[in-house]
Amino acid sequence: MDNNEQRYYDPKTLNRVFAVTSVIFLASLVAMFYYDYDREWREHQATFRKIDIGSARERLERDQKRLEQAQEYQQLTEALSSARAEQSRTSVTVEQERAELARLTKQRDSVREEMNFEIAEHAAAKYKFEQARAKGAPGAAKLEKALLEREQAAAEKKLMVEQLESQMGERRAAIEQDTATVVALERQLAQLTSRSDLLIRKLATLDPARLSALDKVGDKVRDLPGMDMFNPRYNVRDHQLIIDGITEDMVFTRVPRVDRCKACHMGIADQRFADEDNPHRAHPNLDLFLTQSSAHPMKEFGCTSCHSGRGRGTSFTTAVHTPDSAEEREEWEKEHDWERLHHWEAPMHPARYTQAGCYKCHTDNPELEGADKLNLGLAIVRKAGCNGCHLIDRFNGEPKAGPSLRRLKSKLTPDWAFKWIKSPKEFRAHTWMPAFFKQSNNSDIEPRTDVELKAMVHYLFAESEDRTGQAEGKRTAAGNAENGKRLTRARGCQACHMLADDPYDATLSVDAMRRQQGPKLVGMASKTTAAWLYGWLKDPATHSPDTRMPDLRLSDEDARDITAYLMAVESDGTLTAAVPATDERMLDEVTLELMAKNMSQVAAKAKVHGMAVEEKLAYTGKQMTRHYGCFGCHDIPGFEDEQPIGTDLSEEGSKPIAQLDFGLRHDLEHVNYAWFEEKLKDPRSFDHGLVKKPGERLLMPHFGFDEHEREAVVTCLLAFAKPDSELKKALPRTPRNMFIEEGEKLITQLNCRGCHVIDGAGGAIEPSLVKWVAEHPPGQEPAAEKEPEEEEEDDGWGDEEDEAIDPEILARAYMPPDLTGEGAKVQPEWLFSFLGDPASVRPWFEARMPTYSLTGEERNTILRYFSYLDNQKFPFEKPVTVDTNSVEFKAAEKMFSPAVMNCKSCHVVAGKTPEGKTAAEWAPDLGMAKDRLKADWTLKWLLDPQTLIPGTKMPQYWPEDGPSPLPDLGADTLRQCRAVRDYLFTLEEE
Amino acid sequence: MGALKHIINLVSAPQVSFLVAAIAFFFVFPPTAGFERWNRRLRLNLLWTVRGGILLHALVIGGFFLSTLDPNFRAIVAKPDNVPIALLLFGTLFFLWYAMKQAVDNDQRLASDQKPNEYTDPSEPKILVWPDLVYIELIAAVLCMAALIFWSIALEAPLEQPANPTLSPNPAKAPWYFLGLQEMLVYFDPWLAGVVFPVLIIFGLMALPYIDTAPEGSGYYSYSRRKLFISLFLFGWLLLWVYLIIVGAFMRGPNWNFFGPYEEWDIHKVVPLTNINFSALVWVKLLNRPLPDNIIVREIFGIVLLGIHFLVVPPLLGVTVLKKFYSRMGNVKYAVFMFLSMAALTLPIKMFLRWTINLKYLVAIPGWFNL
Repeated sequence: MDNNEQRYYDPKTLNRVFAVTSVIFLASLVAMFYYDYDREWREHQATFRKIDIGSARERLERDQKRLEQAQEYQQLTEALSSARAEQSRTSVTVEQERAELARLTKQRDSVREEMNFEIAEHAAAKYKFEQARAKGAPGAAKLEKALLEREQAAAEKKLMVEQLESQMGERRAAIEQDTATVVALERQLAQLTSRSDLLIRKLATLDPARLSALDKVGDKVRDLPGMDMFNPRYNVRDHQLIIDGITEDMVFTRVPRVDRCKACHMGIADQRFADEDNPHRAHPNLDLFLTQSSAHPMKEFGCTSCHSGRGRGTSFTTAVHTPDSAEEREEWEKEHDWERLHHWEAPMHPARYTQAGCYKCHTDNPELEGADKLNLGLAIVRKAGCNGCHLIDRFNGEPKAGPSLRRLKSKLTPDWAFKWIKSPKEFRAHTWMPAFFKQSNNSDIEPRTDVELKAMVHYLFAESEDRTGQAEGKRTAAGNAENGKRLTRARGCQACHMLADDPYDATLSVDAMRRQQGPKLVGMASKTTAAWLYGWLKDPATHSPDTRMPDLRLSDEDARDITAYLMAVESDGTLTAAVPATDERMLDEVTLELMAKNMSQVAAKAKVHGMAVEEKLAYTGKQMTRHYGCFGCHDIPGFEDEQPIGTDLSEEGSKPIAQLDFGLRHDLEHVNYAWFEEKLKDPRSFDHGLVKKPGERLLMPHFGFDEHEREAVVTCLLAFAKPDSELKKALPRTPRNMFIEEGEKLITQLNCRGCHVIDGAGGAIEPSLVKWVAEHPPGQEPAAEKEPEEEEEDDGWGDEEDEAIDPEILARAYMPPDLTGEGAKVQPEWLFSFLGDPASVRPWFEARMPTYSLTGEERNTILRYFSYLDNQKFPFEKPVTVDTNSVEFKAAEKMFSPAVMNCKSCHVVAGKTPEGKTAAEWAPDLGMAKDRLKADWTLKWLLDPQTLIPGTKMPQYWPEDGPSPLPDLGADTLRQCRAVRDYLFTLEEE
Repeated sequence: MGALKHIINLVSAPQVSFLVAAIAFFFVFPPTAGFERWNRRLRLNLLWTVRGGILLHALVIGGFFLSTLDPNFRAIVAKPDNVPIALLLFGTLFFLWYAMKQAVDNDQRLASDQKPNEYTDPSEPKILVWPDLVYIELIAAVLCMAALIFWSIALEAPLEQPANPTLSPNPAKAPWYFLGLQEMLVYFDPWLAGVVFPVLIIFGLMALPYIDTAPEGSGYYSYSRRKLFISLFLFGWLLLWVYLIIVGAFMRGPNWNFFGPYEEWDIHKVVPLTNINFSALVWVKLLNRPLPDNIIVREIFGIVLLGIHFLVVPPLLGVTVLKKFYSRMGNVKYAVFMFLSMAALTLPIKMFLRWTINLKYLVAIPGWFNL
């Protein structure tokens, strides 16, 4: 048929083309396999295997060395070999028994098989007969007979099996008897070598050196490209976590959270790999994370629940890692071909912002253990008053960050206020008042901002209530500044204020911020008058009803001395700004501009024309106060119901990047944290280069945060993300959690932790106290001059050699009481009335718990907080009733006496102070115990004071174990303690 | 280089590029004998030779790859979802050239009384299937597979974030094949740009072979035998469809602003977009009167213009310039043809008016009809 050779194409050419095409196609297939096979995790898993083998080998070696050196091991091996030798001598019998057992087993197996057939036949016969009988079929009788035969046969076989098995049992027992010694020794040895055996078993499947030749081949083949679909050693499947209960939000639906991070981070949950390089390294905090015993087991939380990123990603880039610095980025780009996956909405946080992840669940703990940066950030947000201008859900209802300006007039002069607002850091370098003026986007319009500022100051003073002359009438004479200085240290001012010589830490901490609750007490003279200061110290509420400054119940003399001292302390900076005369032309311009927002230009012009300067100042002042949002932090008349002026930050961390205005800044990386960092560094910098009218410019003031503080705040901003309802449920809203949260909020507002350690944190005053005690050892001062602080407790003392003691230890004695465990310790009724009127537990100390004007509800909040924190039954206690005629009472009386325990040698009893001791060494009045302490707690306290309050000077009379040193009541420790406790509860206060 | 890029950016703006392309189009694809003479005189017919093809492709592809040296250009064309669009455009160019080459070849053969290339003896109709056709089909299939595999290795699927109804991307773009329509939305009311025009363009292009039923040029490639219809078809296809896709895909950035090929897609770019209705133009500016309250009276000038465009111009052309054509077509075909042509013409006319006099709508009856 080939005669017709008409062709469009030459077949030879087509063949060649086809050959080339085929080669190209083959190449594409090879490439496909290659790229499918070439995965980072495969390489990481191979490396990890080597590390794992190395570590197992090392441990095996160590364990074997241990065995070699262990005498027990040597003895056991010897004993075993001799026992084996012994057994082999009698081996003939054992071998015979074994042969017999094997024969019997074989026979049993064969009979059992027959039995199984019979049973099956029987079941079938039964079914047939049942059916036939039910239908009344004629053959039923015959079938019944067959059934009975089957039953018989099955029973016979069963019997035979049982007989054989019992014979087997006999043989086994005989063998066991013959080999008993060897087996027992082997078992003992196995216990000793269990660790090695485990390692050997592990290495047997892992270590190529221990694989058989065939296994070695298999080990390679199973991971070859194309073969790895069956049962590869290196795979992702075995390492992925599917997290139960925490799914991923995909907008329309939720999908299971699948974390494959472990495919590369194989050593992540194993402490042994703590020193390896990434990705094999163990998690740095396994006590808190990943391990089964930690608070966040890996199986329950996975990785991305906290870290974010893309759990399903199996390559460095698709897991959406985020570099921590430009250098790291460069390194990643070079080594991992890293690029940013913009489309993944929850990328991993850079390492420095990792703690933002904690906030996904822990939104309500004011301080979260282990998350220092986040805690600091939240404290800064609160302290700097970010929530004054920006709505932030969790800060709703927090008091304003700054002082009330309602009674400004009696405290400051307008000129001082002008200079202060214009540049607050000049006066106090560490002030929390941010700078609005002289900033990068408004220093070019200083004449205008001066007018704005003038107007605002005018408004503030015009609206201010004048309290001059109130509460200062009794200040008859100048005070003693020297004594004033001592008092500022002794009374505990340093819990909330920095004093002249207090050093600032290089980096800010939550604890340091507690000492900055109030302003640094310097330069008062340039700011206010002695009269005002005196009145303020005597009764802060007169000048500011809502102030957080408590009433220290100062005597007139003390207040006078402190006033004299504070007025004498110079500021560390001076306000340099000059107060210009009001530029009326500029004032007109600004007023007109503001006025024209609400009416036509023409009408505004006419109106401004008819206004007096004062009126213009007042109008402009109010408008500018609103414009700058001063009322966000300060209580200002006329702005009671104003809404915050800033962006809502509640979900700032989830804001799409397109909503962050980078302006003309092309030098910044296009990620939210870069924007936040820059915003905090120079809040106005996104205005640079843009043409904006003064009223349109960015307003956020400059707080002067350093890098450490900015990192903390940015951590918070990233943490303020769209809430995930599932993660929120990780911490249930139980009454306990809610009451503790509520209490923490109040305690943070009142700065209780400035003095007290509560729930393990706080006591910020300690460093100042240590310094003060070191400079003024208690022995050298008059007795009435010691230093503890406020409130209750028996932190201890009583012993004599105070002089030689390290100031740090001594200071502990002067520390305000540690309130950890307070809920278990004191009676709620007592605490409630104490909070209302804190009569000191140690009235002879100068430092004292100040009076906070707490409402009943607030006091209850604190009560509930302590009670729930210590898991107390809330709120009431059964009173202790004591029979004063009982044997116990008499015995206790005796034990209490000077001859035995001599409690009165330290404790005040019914107002009677111990003899021969300085006040610093006195312990609280035992007469208070009845109304104050909880019975259970008191008993525990007597038994073991150190456990309840570490470092207390209260001696431990009863040893922890062993009999009581006292003979009374049958030398029964518990009975004696109970008796002493009951006795104490009969003592009366003075 | 910067200056050159700047010029290209300026020239690519539809105001310039569309006009230039629309005018140049008729010289490259002449619809009439007059244009054809110009086409020859300008030697544009040489484009459809092998050399011309090489030059054309070298210019376009070379220019394209040279442009990828520019980061802004690269950022847009190298986006994984734009790569296929770019490939598609090269494909369009190649097949256009190939078809035109065959057509021009045939024209020359016909001119010298030869049979066209595709001619087969009607008495012995046959097509060689085995192995010729089947073999090259196999080769093509294998090559396609290999190409797709390499492509899928080199470019990952352009997946984006999970769809979110509360967040629309900026710019929000239709699939590439609808970008021409989206571009029309800039100039027309949605129901015109989204429904009427697409239907007219697609059906109009489809209808052309049924209007021109002349037997010449049937069954083989030929240009000069049916230049008017090929030219009109290509106008609709290349300018009203492909051109708008190019603009929509590569030159419309954030806020649907126009960006030249070397311009950065700056989300903050601001362009003045104040437009004015024809009624306001006539009543307020020309006649110096307030706008009448009656909508019909207010819009009467636009309505009249529209009436002229559709009802007066075609008959007028039929008795003057297109007299011969009209008599060849007959009433019905002529009417259909003119309706489609005039409708297709409204698009460039409206675009032109927008650029020159900021015309918003010629007829603006809110809720009813905006054109």
